[in-house]
Amino acid sequence: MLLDVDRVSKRFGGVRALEEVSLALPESGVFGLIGPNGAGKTTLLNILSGTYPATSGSIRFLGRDFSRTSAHRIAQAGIARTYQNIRLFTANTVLENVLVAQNSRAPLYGLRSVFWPGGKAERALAGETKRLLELMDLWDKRDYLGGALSYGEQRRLEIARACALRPRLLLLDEPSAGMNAAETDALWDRIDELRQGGPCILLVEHDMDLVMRRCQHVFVLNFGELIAEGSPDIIRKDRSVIEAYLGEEED
Amino acid sequence: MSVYMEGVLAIMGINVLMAYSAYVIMATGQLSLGNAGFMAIGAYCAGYLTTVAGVDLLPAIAAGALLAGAVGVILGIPALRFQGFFLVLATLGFGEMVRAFFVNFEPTGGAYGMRGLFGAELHHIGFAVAVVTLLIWLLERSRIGRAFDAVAADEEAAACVGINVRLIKVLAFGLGAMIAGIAGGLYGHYLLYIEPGNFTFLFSAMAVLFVILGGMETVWGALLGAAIFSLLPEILRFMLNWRLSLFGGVLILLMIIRPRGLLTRQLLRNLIRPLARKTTNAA
Repeated sequence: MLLDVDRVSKRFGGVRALEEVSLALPESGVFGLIGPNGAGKTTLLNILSGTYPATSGSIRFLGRDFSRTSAHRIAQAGIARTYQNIRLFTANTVLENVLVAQNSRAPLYGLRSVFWPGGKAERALAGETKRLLELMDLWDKRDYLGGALSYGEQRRLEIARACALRPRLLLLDEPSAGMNAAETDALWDRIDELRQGGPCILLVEHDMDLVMRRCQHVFVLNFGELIAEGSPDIIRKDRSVIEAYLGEEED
Repeated sequence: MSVYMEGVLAIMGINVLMAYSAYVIMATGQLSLGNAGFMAIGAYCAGYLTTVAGVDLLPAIAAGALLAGAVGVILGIPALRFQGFFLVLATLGFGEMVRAFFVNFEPTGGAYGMRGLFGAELHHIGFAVAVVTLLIWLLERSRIGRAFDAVAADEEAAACVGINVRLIKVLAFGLGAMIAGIAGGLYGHYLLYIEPGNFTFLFSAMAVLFVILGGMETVWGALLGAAIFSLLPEILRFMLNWRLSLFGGVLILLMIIRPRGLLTRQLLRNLIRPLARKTTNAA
């Protein structure tokens, strides 16, 4: 297994955001994480990316224990993410946004580039940047400031930045929020292309329809608990999922 | 060159170095009001080495810079716990602590200070300014410069793209302290004496002010801010005591007209782009 989440709980003061959540992801595929507002989806993403630690439980990634690992080490090890509310480095150019995410793979963590910006390794990284930006249709805008891009472009840049880490697992937090159907499809065509030999994807999404179409396996959270998992067809008919989304029926 | 002019230029050079020391720290989104403390450490260390231990000027200044840099790293680690106002207050406290230390520390003359320092000339200061400018320019063009930007913009997102935020912030503190240490060593040996009263909070505040006015996005902003605002009080000297009021007025006006400082990256890009186009057309 690529990722093993074992009985992870998270409390904020008295609030139980996550309650003994366990799930596992293989080397590749697209997996969905759904649930109503406040179900704990983003909390789980934040724990996986090391933004804060779990209160209890363990996380294993590539066979190593990651329960207490700091965010930058997790990113370097191969878990990249995007944010629900886009968090680009808006005062930097498109190119710089992607380039900085390669720092941990650059010679001497980027320190060498102070005195020697060239070299074989740097050329390889520059080629990668170009490919990523071309794939996300942003190469022509590489010198624009991140903050000057349109909403959809910012979303694509954030994905390109995450992929610059060459992740094994990519956490996408509602990547197509605020997009229309055509834009969403275009975005997913690009994500599919990225996935060729690329990362496993864990997708947090509100749009049930999208999840059912794109994901091979879906996890459902409600009030911090994993209430169901399985193929889209199974999830669609699952009684507890329907209740979670539509509210419980009264007897 | 007149002695007066030389003195003005020398102080301007020291001010530029102090602006750089503030700039490097500000480039990672931190703010230090204690850089006069690092300057004092550099000045006293170098002064002690040349006057008491008989060390040459250059190695003495280098040692002072290294000691200041080491103290900067040591201060930078607990400073990671502070954000915003708290960091400003903590560094301010540090600066005053260093000053108070030298007031009471008899081996370096206590409140009376140290005399008999000599050897630093204007061209030494000019050389130091040139070298430090080059190094910061290289740094901010590099991947480390991008990491500085990322940490300043959004620490959480920076960590999630694999940047060691703590390391970058401590590195910036160490570098800033080292530059202030160089400024201190040169300052003492140019002025021929040092006393704790030279390293007050006001000096730290001025350094930050130079950067804010000149522009905190590039090294050239820090350079320009320090140069202009070191010279301005001299140019306005004919106005006698009114000059300080006018100086204050210029500061307020600038903050209204150019709140991001005189030189911004955008402005530099706009200046450089037509030049680049001309050269490609010619070729």
